[in-house]
Formats: sequence, C-alpha cells, structure tokens
Amino acid sequence: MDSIELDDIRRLLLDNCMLRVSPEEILPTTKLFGPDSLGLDSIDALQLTVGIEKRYGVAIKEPATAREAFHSVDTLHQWLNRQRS
Amino acid sequence: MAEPAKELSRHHWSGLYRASMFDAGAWLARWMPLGILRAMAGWIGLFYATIHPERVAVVRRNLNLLDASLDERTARQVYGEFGKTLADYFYIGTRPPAEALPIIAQVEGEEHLREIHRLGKGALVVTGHFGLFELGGLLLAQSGFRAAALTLPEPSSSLTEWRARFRQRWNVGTIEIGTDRFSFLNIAESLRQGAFVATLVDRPHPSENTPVSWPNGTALFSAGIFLLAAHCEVPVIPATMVRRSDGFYHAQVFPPIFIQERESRAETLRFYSQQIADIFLPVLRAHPEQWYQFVPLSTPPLT
Repeated sequence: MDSIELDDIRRLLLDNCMLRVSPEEILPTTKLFGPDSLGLDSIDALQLTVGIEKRYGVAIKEPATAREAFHSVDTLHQWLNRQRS
Repeated sequence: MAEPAKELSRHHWSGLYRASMFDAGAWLARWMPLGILRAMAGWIGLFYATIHPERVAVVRRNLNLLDASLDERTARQVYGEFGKTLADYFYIGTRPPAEALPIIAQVEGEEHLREIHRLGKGALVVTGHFGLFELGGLLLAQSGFRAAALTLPEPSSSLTEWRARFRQRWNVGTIEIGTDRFSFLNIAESLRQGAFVATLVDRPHPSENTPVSWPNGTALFSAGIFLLAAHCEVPVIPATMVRRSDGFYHAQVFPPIFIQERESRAETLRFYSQQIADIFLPVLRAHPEQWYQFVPLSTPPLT
C-alpha cells in the first residue's frame, strides 16, 4: 500500500477543515488545535475524522486515539501511515 | 461573542445553581405535595422577577424575537413558570418512573421514534430550553429506548454529577461535551448503538454557532451536532415538552429529518437550524412563558 505523503495530509486538512492558510504554511510541526496552531475546532475535528474514514478507510472511534493522532500535522501523518502499514 | 451574556449568566445563577440547592429542592419534593411545591416555586420565581427588573428586560427582549407584542408581564411569567418547572423536575426525579410518567398526559408523534428504532437506528433528539425538556429522557427510557442526554459542563463538577445521577434514576445516560473536543466520538458510538441522544440547540455554544432567523431578529443555535448525525447516518428528530394549563405535560415528536450535505458546511448547518427553528416557532409562540432564555440571545441580522 502506498504511503501517505505530507502533501496528502495538507490536502486532507484543506479539504475538510475551515482553514485560511496556504498548503505551504502547513508544516510538519504545525499543531492542529490550541494556541499557535491551525486553530481547528470540534467541528473541524469531526469533519477531519469523517474525511479520513472516507479517503483512507480508517475509522477513529476513541477520543484518546484522536487526541494522539490529531496533535500535529506530523503525528497525524505518522499515525495514518501506521494504520495503513 | 457574548461575554456580557456569560457575565450575566454567571451572576444570575451564582447563588442558586449549585448541587446543595438541588439537594434542597429534591428534599422538599420528597414530602411536599406537587400542587403546593409548584405554587411555592412559582411565587418565588415571580418574586425574583419583581426584584430583578434588569433580568426581566433581558427575557423580554428574547421573547420579542418571537413576538414583538410580548410584554414585561409575560417576561415575569417566565420566571414563575420556571419555578414551577423546577418543582416538577424535583418531584418527578424523586418518584419511581412509573409514578412520575403520568405527568405526561399527551404524547404526539411517538410513532416517529418507533419507526427509527425499528430500523435499528439511533437518532439525535433536538429540543430547546422550553417546558421540562428533561422529561423527554424519562419518556424515551420508559418507552423502552436507550436514551442519553448531552450536556455542557455545569458551573461545578458536583452539579454535573448530581444531574447525571438524577437522570440515571430514569435509566437516562449523560454524555458531557464541551471540555473534550473529541467527545463527539462518544456521541457517535451511542448513536451507532441505536441510542436516542437528546440535546438542546437553541442557545449559543462556546465555540461554534449558526444564526437562525426568528420573526423579529436573529439568534444563534449550536447546531454543529447535526453534522455528526449526518456522519452516523441517523436522523435529527425535533421534540418539545410543554406544560398545559392543567399542569400536565404535552410531548410532541416531529417527523425525522435526515441531514443531507449542502454546498458548504455553514450552509448545511444554517439550512437545518432554520428548519428546526421553524418547527419550534409555533410551540414557542403558543407557550412563550415556558421559553427559559435568561441571557441575551439577539445577534446582528443575517446578511
């Protein structure tokens, strides 16, 4: 199975969340929530969860899993690749 | 938005909205006849309104969103009716479900719940801050459905726990939202397991809101949860529970609405929020004195 690239994660975020940034501004270290982050809210989190399930067939069912995966762009990237490996 | 509203809300409830006061209410309700309890609570509510005209003015402005002719007298009545509703809340919560249930004298539209349940689905049951909405949980549980209520955190964790225990007596669960941005996953799990999850939509949410048009202005609904219903492929079922003039309650369950995504997320939320508001409006106009909105609701009009 092809691994997911950083650009895929950027596209996932832009397609599912209400973002006002360009893809280049989304860095691996960028956090998804809280101060100095992309500023996602709980609705973005829901949309992102739905988007991941639709695009990659990976369902997130536990809040603890979501907290771990959605910490930053990099954690989401790595987590998704682990789920698909 | 609404920092002044939050401030007013905090002052409004600081003395009364705590677990010890709820304990006191439940203690009174255990031995006092309902008629006396209601009359006493109603008079306390009216007295409170008399000595707090500035709060009555807020309630009147909220009522005027529905109907410009509603005056200060109706706004004061809201406090009296709220007192009676609290009396009913404590009374039914301290009685066995079979003894409490007859307070609901009229149920319309229960077939909508049965039909969804027959399909093996859960549903998001949406209502507003009018009448005794907590009775809906009792009705759902006593009708044999799995039921849970969504709540924002109360001002103290002890009160949150108190109210959750109170619901549990009727076999109604509580899902707390607001502190954890991923709590929607718990709600999704309940919906997928076929539960009817009840939530209030007619007040602003701390982080996400959708404007709806009332006849005389615009207010905010917390409607983000509709997207979860769409994702879980369960319907949204509007419902109301208002007290009739004879003191018994009238439950109305409206036909299910299946959320379909529209051109944008904001438009999806706006469209369905307005649909729900339009369903609630006739009930609210018939019983404005039971719309318990104590903080300013009005927001700039839609553009």
